[in-house]
Amino acid sequence: MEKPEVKTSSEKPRKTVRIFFMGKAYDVPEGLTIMKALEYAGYRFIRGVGCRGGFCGACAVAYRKPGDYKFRTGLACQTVVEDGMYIALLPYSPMVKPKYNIEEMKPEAGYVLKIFPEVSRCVSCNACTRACPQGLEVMDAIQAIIRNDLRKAAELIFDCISCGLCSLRCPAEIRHVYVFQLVRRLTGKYILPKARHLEERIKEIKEGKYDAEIEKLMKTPIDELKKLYMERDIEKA
Amino acid sequence: MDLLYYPGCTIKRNAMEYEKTTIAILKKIGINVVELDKWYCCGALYSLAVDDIAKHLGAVRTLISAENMSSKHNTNKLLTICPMCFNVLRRVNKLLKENPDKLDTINQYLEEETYKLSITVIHVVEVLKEYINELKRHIVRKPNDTPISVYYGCTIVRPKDIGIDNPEDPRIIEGILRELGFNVVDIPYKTLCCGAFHVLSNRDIVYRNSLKILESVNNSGAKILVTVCPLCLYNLRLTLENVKTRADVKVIYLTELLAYTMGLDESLSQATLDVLNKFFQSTLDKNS
Repeated sequence: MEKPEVKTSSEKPRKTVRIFFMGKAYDVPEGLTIMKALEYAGYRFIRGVGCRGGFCGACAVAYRKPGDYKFRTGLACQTVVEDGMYIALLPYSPMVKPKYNIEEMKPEAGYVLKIFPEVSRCVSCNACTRACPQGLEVMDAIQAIIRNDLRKAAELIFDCISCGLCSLRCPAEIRHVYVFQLVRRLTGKYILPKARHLEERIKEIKEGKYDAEIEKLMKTPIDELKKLYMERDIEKA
Repeated sequence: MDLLYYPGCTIKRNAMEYEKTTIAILKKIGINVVELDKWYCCGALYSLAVDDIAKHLGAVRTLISAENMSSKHNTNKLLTICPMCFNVLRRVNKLLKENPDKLDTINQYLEEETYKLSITVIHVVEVLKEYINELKRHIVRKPNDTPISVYYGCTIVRPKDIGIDNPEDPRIIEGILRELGFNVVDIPYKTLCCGAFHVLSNRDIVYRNSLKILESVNNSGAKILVTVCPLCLYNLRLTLENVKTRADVKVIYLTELLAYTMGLDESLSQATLDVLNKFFQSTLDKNS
């Protein structure tokens, strides 16, 4: 079918692609992200949208392309629309958040498995890794937990944005988002070296080393602050 | 010589001494153990349903990982030490070799990489048997007549078509120990199941079976029982701790005994050293 062109006030006419959302077809300008395209089509998001920069993980999306059996996933704010895309937004993955006291735990797999026994159901299908919009080795992280290498697991999933796509795809029903949160906490608290300089700085702050400076800053008029800001030292590129 | 090595989760969590002594022994006889860069939980139990191939994915990914490293290390052998892992990996390997359609289904799912059937799964006992003369050459503490029994458990000898020896009356480990000069006494229950995973749901099953094994060891007069399975060792020790019995037996890994005989003390825990010193120091002169 002939596809219409759209005109914006300043640009020359743009080509459109046809996407399908909630059973309806929409012709949207090419080159838009899924999120922008749906907003162009008239949807207004109050859930499943966040930073729009690919960092917050709020806008998980699933889609298929014509003539391709693959179930694809991504972030709506990062994925560009393609002609014939079938789209479903997945604003969140249902997960019950467990309560635990990290002070009573040790950095050992047993503590993780006690709260998340489903982790040991992993059959290495790798659906999680394929779903990850961050390109993380999710399955390898889960496997590292099973063999008690929490540090390795925490390293592998350091860039997790908690979008929950892996958990939606997991046949073992693992709650990756919360599992990984616990693994990072245990690693940070018990395994990684302590940041001594941070402790020293906190001590200095508590002892009031910077009180006078803050006081002075708080009393400075806004115009002078602006001037100070504009004239600050900037590291040369 | 390099040998590709798959540890398995239990080895890394609960049986570090088994791994440490194995690597030390093999290194001593000139075998360099190379742990796979990537490996996955084998699944622990081989799924028996004919169409349940998803349960084999972890094992297949491990075999692929070994395949990827095999040319660099000039070997197609994958060493296992945990009998459960050995059992699952060898059975999955066999299944795929004999059923091209199943291999095809798995390879189609895997997409990222495919398995080309080039790997042979071996157990450390097979390696020890093959290099028995090398082991002999490195003995620094001569065995004495302390009676020792061997417990095989189930998964390195059963089922028959993947087992490393006769499933009913295996003698491979006794053969190694006798060759090295140990006084080995046979026990009737060396392949009776220790109770295995029932330890999680019904310990009485474990106590019943393990007690039968331990008392037969005791009746035979053996002081030390060697095994090659972390789960068997756990269950046997648990039974000794929790059940009233006249059995007075020390349960250790085969490789711990061998490492001791070869003077690889740095690979042994102090507790194991103490136990073995008690039995062997009086009659053994080091560096003989």
